[in-house]
Amino acid sequence: MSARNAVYWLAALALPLIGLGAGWAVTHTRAQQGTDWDVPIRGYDPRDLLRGHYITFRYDWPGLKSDDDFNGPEALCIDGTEPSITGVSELNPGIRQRCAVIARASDNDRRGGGLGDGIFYVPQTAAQGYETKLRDTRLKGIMRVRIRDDGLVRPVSLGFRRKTAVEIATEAAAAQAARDSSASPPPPIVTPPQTRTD
Amino acid sequence: MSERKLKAWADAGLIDADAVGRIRDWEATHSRPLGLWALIGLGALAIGLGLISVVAANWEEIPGMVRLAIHLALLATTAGLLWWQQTRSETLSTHFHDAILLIFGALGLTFFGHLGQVYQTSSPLWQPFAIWLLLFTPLLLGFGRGWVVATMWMAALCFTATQHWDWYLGRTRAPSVGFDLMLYQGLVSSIPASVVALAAWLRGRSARPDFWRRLEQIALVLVVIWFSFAGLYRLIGGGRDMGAVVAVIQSTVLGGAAASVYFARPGKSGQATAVILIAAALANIASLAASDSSLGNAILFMLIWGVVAAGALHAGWRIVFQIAVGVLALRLIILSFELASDLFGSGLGLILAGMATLGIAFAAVGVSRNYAPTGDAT
Repeated sequence: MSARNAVYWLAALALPLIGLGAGWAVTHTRAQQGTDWDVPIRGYDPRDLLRGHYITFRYDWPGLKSDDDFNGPEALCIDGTEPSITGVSELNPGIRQRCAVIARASDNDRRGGGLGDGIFYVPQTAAQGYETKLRDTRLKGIMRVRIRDDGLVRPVSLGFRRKTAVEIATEAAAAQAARDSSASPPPPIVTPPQTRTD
Repeated sequence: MSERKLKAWADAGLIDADAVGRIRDWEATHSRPLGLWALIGLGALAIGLGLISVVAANWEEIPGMVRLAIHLALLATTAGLLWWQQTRSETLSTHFHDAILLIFGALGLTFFGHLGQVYQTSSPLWQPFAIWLLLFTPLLLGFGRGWVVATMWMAALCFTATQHWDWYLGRTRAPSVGFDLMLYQGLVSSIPASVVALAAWLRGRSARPDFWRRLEQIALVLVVIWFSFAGLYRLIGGGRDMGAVVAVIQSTVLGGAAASVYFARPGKSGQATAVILIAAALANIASLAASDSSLGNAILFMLIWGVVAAGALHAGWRIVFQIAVGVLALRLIILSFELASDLFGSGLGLILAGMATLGIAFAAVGVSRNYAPTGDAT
């Protein structure tokens, strides 16, 4: 192999190693930036919590009316002192000054949604435990998220605590309201066949 | 080499005593202690498998940083292996060389997924693939030798492009389709044709003509498959209204590729490839007119494959010719059933379609047997 070829060969082999190493360094550095906050969560879909190695979930941003059909807001103003959130509201220019931190939906998210939901990678051995706890109606999932200065929200770790009496009462009321609103059955799509009486 | 065989050959007068002596000497200096090697290999294999299973069983317990470091170390080791085998005087076989490149590439691609798991980050799929292409293309195109690396690179390129297209379309949410979007779709779907041109051009100018030949073949196969299904380009995100502009762009690129192949590779093979590309370009435009007519689409399909068969006959590609005849026969049979569908009620249509099937099958076997060129596909 000629010297020129050897140099090109070495460079072509080194490029992926250097590039991947640099990618790791950048990811690592950016992962350290930002402040940590605790956000209550619930399972995205009770029948389908696990997507491969990932748990899909919805954020229960304190003080924000949640809606399952909604991707979630594009930007949130978060009040409180790290890591406990006292309340959040949708960001508008008027309140920008008083926000402790601002969270923004990422264009680059694989799911492409707003701040309503997220995914969390779990090791296979721990997945079953997380799933059981997320289904447990007495427990509340708490996601520790790191919010970068540019607003990017990234889940860091998942914990659980017992629900308070107030939370249980509120959820029961919400469930009752949902049942009431859908109390009357939907109109039949096909006409039911005549039941035989003989 | 057994002593018994040597004696038998010497006794039969096949070799003389001198030759027997020379063979014995040569065997003595070149003998390999196979038994010992097998034992060493077995021991190394056991240790290796043990290490892998210990690491695999505790993979989730290992801290993320250590796991990523192991991953990067594996990449570096593979790179070292590639470097070492290239500097030796006797180089490895094409398949082995390409297999190591494939492993290196696969390790690099999984590194992105691994980073995402450890740091809980996510991104659209095209991003890691695009970075991977940037990092690995000089290595794969610069040092790949056979179809393994050519296929990996081509698959990554097409996957990245279609993923980006999909992501881009999802983001724009524009009410009307602009010219830029049509231009972009035309170019994304023209990637195989562009690669045919590039590979044909480099085939005569590189020290590895075989690699570029493989890449050109793979890209040409993609082009033919792509345009065999006239509606396929609509599948990757475009509507009927985009069809005309996109088809013109695609056919322009195909025409350019045909010219590039024709001038870069003088000879029958280059001519045949150019003609196939021209046929694809024309059929692509014609498919706009055919739109939903089953007869029109079938005729276009058979025209393309007829040109492929003619090109194969001209260039002496035996296997390609036989495949083309088989595809043509299959399409004719499907068409006979499509056209006879309204006659099925009477049973007569079924009989006619069955007879057509038998006739076509016999004709195809006859054509394939009598007219297939004897040469190898190049």
